This record gives sequence, structure tokens and C-alpha cells, in this order.
Amino acid sequence: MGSSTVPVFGNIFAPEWMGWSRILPNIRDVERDIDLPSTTVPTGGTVRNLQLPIDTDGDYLVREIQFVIFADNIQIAPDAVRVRIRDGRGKLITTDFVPVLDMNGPIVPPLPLCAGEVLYVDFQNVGVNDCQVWMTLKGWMRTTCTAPGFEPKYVPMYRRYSVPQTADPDDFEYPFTFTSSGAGDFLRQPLQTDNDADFLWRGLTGDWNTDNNDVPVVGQVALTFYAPDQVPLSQTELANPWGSTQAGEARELILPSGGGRVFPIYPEIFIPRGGILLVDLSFGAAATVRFSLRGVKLYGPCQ
Amino acid sequence: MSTKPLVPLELTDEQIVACAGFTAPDGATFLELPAVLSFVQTFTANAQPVEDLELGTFPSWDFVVCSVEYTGVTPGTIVQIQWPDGRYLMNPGIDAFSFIGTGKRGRLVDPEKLLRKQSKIRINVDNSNVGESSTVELYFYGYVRVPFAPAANGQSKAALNG
Repeated sequence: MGSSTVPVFGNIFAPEWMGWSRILPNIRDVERDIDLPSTTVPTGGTVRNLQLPIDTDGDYLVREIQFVIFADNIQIAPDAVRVRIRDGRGKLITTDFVPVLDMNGPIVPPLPLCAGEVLYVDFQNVGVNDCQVWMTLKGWMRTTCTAPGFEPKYVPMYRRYSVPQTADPDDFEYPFTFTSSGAGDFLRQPLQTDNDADFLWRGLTGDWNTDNNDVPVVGQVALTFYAPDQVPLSQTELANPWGSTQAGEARELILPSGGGRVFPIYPEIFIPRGGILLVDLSFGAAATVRFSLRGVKLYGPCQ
Repeated sequence: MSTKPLVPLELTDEQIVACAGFTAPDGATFLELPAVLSFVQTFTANAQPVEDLELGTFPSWDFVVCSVEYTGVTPGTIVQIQWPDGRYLMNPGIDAFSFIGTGKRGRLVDPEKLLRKQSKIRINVDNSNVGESSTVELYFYGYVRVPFAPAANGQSKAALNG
């Protein structure tokens, strides 16, 4: 098997945060998040040497860093807020100040931090507005214990492509944009696919917190996707902030906030050529929602 | 200085297999080396859509795209990519600023896309709804396949030319 069949960067439909399913002997891993309290970073200023101590009772492996920026509904340019992180020995984890937007997300392989270590975090704001930055490390604490390792029956997503395809698959995506001038539910909106090839729908991308599609209040748009056989892929929320009885999942739950990262659809959904997906859109206010259906087209031998 | 005579070194089949990243069906092997194709062009505010901008692939080696990345900072510029074989990566175009990132936020390509040497990627750009100048900074990350060892049956030329 040539490496052309083994993705160099990993499988985009098997998110890195899924981690390893194998349980190591004499190791106990426990999910744990560590927060750096919200910090005000003034415009044009730098806040240095914020200390983020790691617990002393176990090593810590960071699998994801998340930054949340509060700016009182003021738009913050994507590269305005930057971060520089050093570990407790003074070693830089980032080369210099890098935009928090690019640091947001999973880390592969996980970043190991020793028990009792202290991260030093510097923030820089090159934008024109003050803002507050909140940083969270997501990962797991690793301690020792006396227990055998075992291989659970759980199968990682990257091994769970449903059926080997005899057709010629090619990466493809269908982007869609919907705008509402006010609150309202728009049900069963059709998402038309192309006629030239079948499509295996394997993931979703979409933005909701960028400069271009700024959402001052989280939760203004909710979505329910339907498979081609009209089976909804999510339940309606019981309580909805704007009182809709038709709203589905908040877009913040199913769209990965910009960039090329994918929210996986598993198992993949087969859409015949020219097939139509349906989506319910529920708006709590005037807003624009954008998303892209990611997957592969299955071309026949003469296409 | 050593006075020992020079000994010609020969690669064993095992070494070739260990070093080569790709083996063609006829046994020819290829080294796979990281490579990047970049496309940078500035479009004025509200410029009319431009179609079929061409980006040439490598002249001597086939190139396999693993990831498309974007460092432009102007939201709203619509980019559509068409591979040399005529197939599109997306339909219609996407706002590259929001839907293509860098690094782990890059727009990974799965399965990877093989682009033959001396072929052309076509790019459509629409900045007509953006009220400011926009520089499209697009990168195709992947690897080139450099011929490394011919097929055992001597028919290397056909194999190496794909």
C-alpha cells in the first residue's frame, strides 16, 4: 500500500480530540480542563507573565486550547489578539506572539506538561478595542495506578468508513448561505447537490465567530439537517432562547467556527446524484448562517 | 587519511522499499518529498469576478495535494478551485477567509489529490461584494513523487511517467 492511501495529516473525519481508545497498563487518564481566568488586554497593550499552574498530583496532556474573546459586541479583527506561551522552564511553546485564532483548536500530538509545572501566558492586543480573553486547556490528567491495560471494543472513527468504494472518490464540498432579516423559522429548505456524481456526506464546516460573520450573542441560529430519506439528524431543543418550537441544534454545536476543520457526520450519509438534503433554519434575530457539506463525490469510470 | 579503496555502495531491494514512499503497480518506486504550491494575487475592491486563473504544477514530478491553506485576511472573497482533471473542489466557491485556515485549521483534502506534472490548477475569484482590496494567499500543501528506482522488469519509463 502506498502512502497515497494513508493521509499524511490524518483523517479529517476522525477528529484529533477523540484520542486513543487503548487503555495503557498502570496508567490512569482522567478528562480535565484547566482555565486561565479572563484577562483584560487593553488596545495596543501587552499583558505578560500570567501564570497557569498545572495540578501537582498528575501530569497533564493538552489535547486542545480554546480562547474565548469578550468585547462587548465590538468586532475584534481576527489577528488582533495574540498569545505567547512558555512552559515552566522558560521554553516557548509558540514561536512568538501568534493570533489566538490560529491557536484555537486541537493539538496533535498532545502537549505534555509535568505535574506542578507553570505555564506563562502573554497576551498582546494590536487591535483598536480593549477586550477580555479567556483561555482554556482541554485534555487529560495522567496518573499511575496498578491496573492492566486493555483494548476496548470501541473502534476509532478513522477506522469506520462504512463501505470500501469501488467508484473514484474525490474530495468535494457544497457551501450554502442563508440570511434572515429577523426572527423566524424556515423549515425544510432544500440543499441541492450536483448531478454529475453521488456524494458521501462526511462532515460539516461553518463559521460563526469571525470578523465577517460576527455573532454578538451565541445562539441566534439553530439548524436541523435531514438525510435524503427525510430522517432528522437531531432532536428539537426543548427550551429555546427565542421561543421557537422548531429550532434544532445551535449552530455553535455543529459548525466548527471557521477554518477547514470538520464537524464529522458519522456514519457517512449517501446522497444520490442530484439528491436533495433538507435543513430547518431557526433564527432568533437577523443573522446570516453559512455552512458547507464536506465529503467525497463518487465519480463513475467515464466522469 | 584512509588508504582503503572505495567500495561501491549498492542499495538492496529492502533499502529501496524502506526509503521509497510510493510503489507503482509495476514496481517502480518513488521518493515522496514535501512540497508547496502557492498562489498570491491581489484583487481591487469590488473587482468583477475573475475566472480560470491558472496555477501550474511542478514541471518534472507529479504532485499530491494533502491540504489547501489560506492566509488572506480579508473576509468575503469567494474562491473556487478546479483541479487539472476538470473536477472542482467545491461548488460554488467559498469564502476562503472563513472556510480555509492554516495548519490544523487548514482545508484538508481527503482522499489526497494527485496532480500530474505540467498540469494546471484553475482558480476562480470573486471579490465583487467586498468593499476593500483583497489579497488571495492560497497554498497547496502536499508532496512530489520523485522517481527513485525503476521497475524490476525494466519498463521504468512508462511507470515513471504514470
